[in-house]
Amino acid sequence: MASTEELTTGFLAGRHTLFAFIYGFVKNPHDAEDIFQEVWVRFSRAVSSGVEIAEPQKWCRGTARNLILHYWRDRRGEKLVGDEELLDLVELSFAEQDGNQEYWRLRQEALTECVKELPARSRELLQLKYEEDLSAEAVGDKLALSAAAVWMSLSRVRKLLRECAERKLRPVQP
Amino acid sequence: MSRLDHLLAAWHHGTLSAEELLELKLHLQTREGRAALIDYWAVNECIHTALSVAQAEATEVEKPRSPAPAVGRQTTPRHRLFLFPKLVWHELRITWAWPFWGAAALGLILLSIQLYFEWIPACTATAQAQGQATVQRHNRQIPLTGSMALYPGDQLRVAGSSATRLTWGGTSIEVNPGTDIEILNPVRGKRLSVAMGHLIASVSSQPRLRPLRIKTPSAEVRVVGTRFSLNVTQDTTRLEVMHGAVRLMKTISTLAGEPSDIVVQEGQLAVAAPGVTLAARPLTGFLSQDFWIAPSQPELSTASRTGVAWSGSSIPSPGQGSNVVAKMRGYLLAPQTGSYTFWIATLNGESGAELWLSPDDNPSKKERIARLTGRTDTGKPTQVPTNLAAARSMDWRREPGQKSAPRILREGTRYYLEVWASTPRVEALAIGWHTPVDSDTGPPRMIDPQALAPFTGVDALDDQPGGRP
Repeated sequence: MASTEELTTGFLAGRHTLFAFIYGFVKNPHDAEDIFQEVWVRFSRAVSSGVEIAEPQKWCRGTARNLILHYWRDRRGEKLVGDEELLDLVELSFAEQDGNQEYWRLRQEALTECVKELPARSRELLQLKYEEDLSAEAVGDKLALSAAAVWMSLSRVRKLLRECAERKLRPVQP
Repeated sequence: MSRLDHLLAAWHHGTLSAEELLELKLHLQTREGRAALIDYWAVNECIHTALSVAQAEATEVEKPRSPAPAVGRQTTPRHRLFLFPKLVWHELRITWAWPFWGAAALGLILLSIQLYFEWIPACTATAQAQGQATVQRHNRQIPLTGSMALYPGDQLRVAGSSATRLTWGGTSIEVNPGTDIEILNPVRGKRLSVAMGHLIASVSSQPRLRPLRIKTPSAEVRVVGTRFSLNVTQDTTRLEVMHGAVRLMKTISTLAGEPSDIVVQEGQLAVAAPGVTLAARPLTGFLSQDFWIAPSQPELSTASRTGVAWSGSSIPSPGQGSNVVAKMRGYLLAPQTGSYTFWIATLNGESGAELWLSPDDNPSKKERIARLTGRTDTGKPTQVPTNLAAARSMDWRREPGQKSAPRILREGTRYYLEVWASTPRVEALAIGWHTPVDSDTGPPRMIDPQALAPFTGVDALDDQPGGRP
């Protein structure tokens, strides 16, 4: 049975993918943070009370899945699209990547650096669309762009980020 | 932009139609599709993390220039101000930090309450002078006039012929002349130190774990709530308990096998002195005594209702037009079962006297069994006789009422006894008796002192502690 320290280390190693899983479904970064922290609290409580956890990442994803279902149920009036089948498929996607944690960790670090290296205008675009959750029209108004141009710019920035991360990872890519 | 990327973007921004959702699920049936989803969502997560960190750093840098906090979710989201508040809270909870600080705060509050309600009032005693007394405070001698508050470190010295009353909370201590008493700092209860002298204490109920403690050169007395008399000399402490129980601890060297402390019960006495085994013995041989000053010649036993109590165990000097009445009370311990007859007499019949007896130890059942009206032509000074001479000088047959009717008493039973005399000179008073072994026709003999014990109860009319005759 893994020690408390090992379990905690396991959780911390997979925290980026766990947050990506939650954020992908919840879409609002603040609510995603709340669910992420609740998963951590439940995980810590389970570890302190001696619950046997063989795979921390899988255990945390299962807990997050339940919390996401609750989240969807509590926000039925906000026309959120909740789909359990999609949830199952995404969970499968993440489960397939559990063995590549180290690669994903390095990729996350590279991507984070790449975001920092983006021009100020691109970062502002990401800020308005992803963090402040504005519509494409509202973002366009602020940046003097059309909605279509906003979508196009976002797509271009994401492509740049991918390429940047691959460039940084090339020497160590498996 | 691939079709899958478009679907994932539409999902993320909430613009995915039902058909597109179905299409997305079909893509996710393949391994490549699932890998693409992971990639897309990982980029989303990185954008969020990088922007949050950048925002937090910008906030830190901007803080000195704009101290006013930004308001609103958009500018200061919770997760940016404090990345893991729940995590930190959880850590505090599991490391018992909160219970520790909670217990510390509770302890502080309890300590404050104890200080406020117990320690601060316990520091202050009040001395009320009735005679000549001084208080020594910081090497200064302060004459005691009227009432005066005493504090730890103060030393009360009583001189002259009248007692001084010391009150401390509900405790009242009559400090007799020649007594040197010091108020000590209250630690786990009130504390006094008596170097020498005599005091009679009526101690109110004290907390069980914080008794009143009186230190003497040879012993320590611990009292929870009682009435007792303490007589202290350089190396001897004599404790007589009238009511309740007192613990006496001998603080000088004890004999081999001798206990170092005992509990002295009601009606018992104990002496702590070098070479004397510490033991509780029955308190017999005398009656409790006090005096009443009546405004006019009273019916003797009504003096307690018409007069005022003389607060002091020493004999009072009556003022003009006042009559001093002595009252003695206690218990008669019948040495054997049988018929007893009692006499009351005064020296040469010069004073009036009354003898009262109860069928048990309850004072409220007492009834007068003998009475001497006394002669009125007193004028010549009377010599106080010795015990033997007194028995011969007493006029036992002056009046018929001096003799009681025969009464049946049981061995080992306590009978409440009360004597009133219209004189403060109790040496001139005598009680005689015929026991079952005496001849009925012979003269009465003086009552055996071992058959008398001081009063140890409390009655409603008179709560003054009695002294030794």
